[in-house]
Amino acid sequence: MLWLGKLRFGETLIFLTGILLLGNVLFISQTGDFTYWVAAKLAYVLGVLLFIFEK
Amino acid sequence: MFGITFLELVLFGQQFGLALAGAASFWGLVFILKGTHHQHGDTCVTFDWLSRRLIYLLYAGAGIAIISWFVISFMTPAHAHEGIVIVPELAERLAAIKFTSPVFMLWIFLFLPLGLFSRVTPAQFHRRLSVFYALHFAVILFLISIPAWSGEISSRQLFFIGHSAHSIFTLGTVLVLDFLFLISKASLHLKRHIYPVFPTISKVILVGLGIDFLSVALVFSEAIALTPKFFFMQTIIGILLINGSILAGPLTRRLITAAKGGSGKLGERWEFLGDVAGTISITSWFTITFIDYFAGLSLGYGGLLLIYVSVLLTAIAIHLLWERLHRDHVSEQLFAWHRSGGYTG
Repeated sequence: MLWLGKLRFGETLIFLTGILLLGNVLFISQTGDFTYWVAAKLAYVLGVLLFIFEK
Repeated sequence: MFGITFLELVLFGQQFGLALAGAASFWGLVFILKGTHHQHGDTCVTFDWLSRRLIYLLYAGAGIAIISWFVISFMTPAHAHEGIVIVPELAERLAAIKFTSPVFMLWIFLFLPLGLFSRVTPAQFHRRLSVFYALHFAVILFLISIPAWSGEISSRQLFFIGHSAHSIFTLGTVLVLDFLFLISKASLHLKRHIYPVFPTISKVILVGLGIDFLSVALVFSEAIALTPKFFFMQTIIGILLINGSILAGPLTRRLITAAKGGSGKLGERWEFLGDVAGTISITSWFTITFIDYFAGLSLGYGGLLLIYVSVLLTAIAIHLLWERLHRDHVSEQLFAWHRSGGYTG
């Protein structure tokens, strides 16, 4: 897990979005609720913006 | 088989070919401009050389797209005669083929032969390479943007455009990235020039996925159905994001540092991680583009995941075996010599 500590902020957000999407597969299949799925997509947009502009 | 029709398979072939050709022309143009921007020798010549290499990818993609287009053109009337009930989505796809056919023919007969000039008058051709790539990119962007035609510019049509055109910046660009990675493997000089471009390429890939997310938002209630295919696609996108953040972040930085440091080699552990992450990336992008093309897939979530994991593990095994068998001994000796202080170039 050495690489995990080497992620920058934007990359971490994209990484967490991936985890959230995987979790959502289970959550949506159980509840049909898309709230966290939409939140994951918004977090992704923010993560990409940070990834682009982060020095 | 598994609810996959031959027409859908050929339509995917066309999408794949256009994505590859589009990405090759896009990055060809970027490299030409980057080379021109750097007036001094080394960088200018290297990017000029790289942009010329991308012509091969452009023609490979164009070849796949054109063969698929010809097959589709011959198949369409046969479908009509057989009286097969065409689902609306398929009807929209067929309308798109009619709509884009004149541009496709223009591309085949007018723009693609321009490449012949590279053989007849190479100096003239390479002077106008940026125009060549720009023309191709514009035409391919139009062709790939109309995978289905609803008859009007509605939010549904905008969804089709975003959902298809992003393939140039995602699948196509991942293929270009792999191509660049492979051709630079044996050359420290190329690594030093190509690796620093990887973060920019990663940004384009991530923005490409963002374009797809936004296009889905346009038709959210229409586009989302809780099918096994939807859950499978979300799983693959999740894997892509986790993998992409590692690949575009720490791994790329490690590659750049290694190239700058002189050896161009990663440690054994990082090299293994890089090989696996690269294979996951290309397999996953290919999978989501492929699966997207089949409306009536009969496989469940478990079946799709099992096939994906099997393909992925096979691809990783082949990749690692290839790496072992095609180890570049000459470069390795050169790098070893460099580390010992004998080679400084």
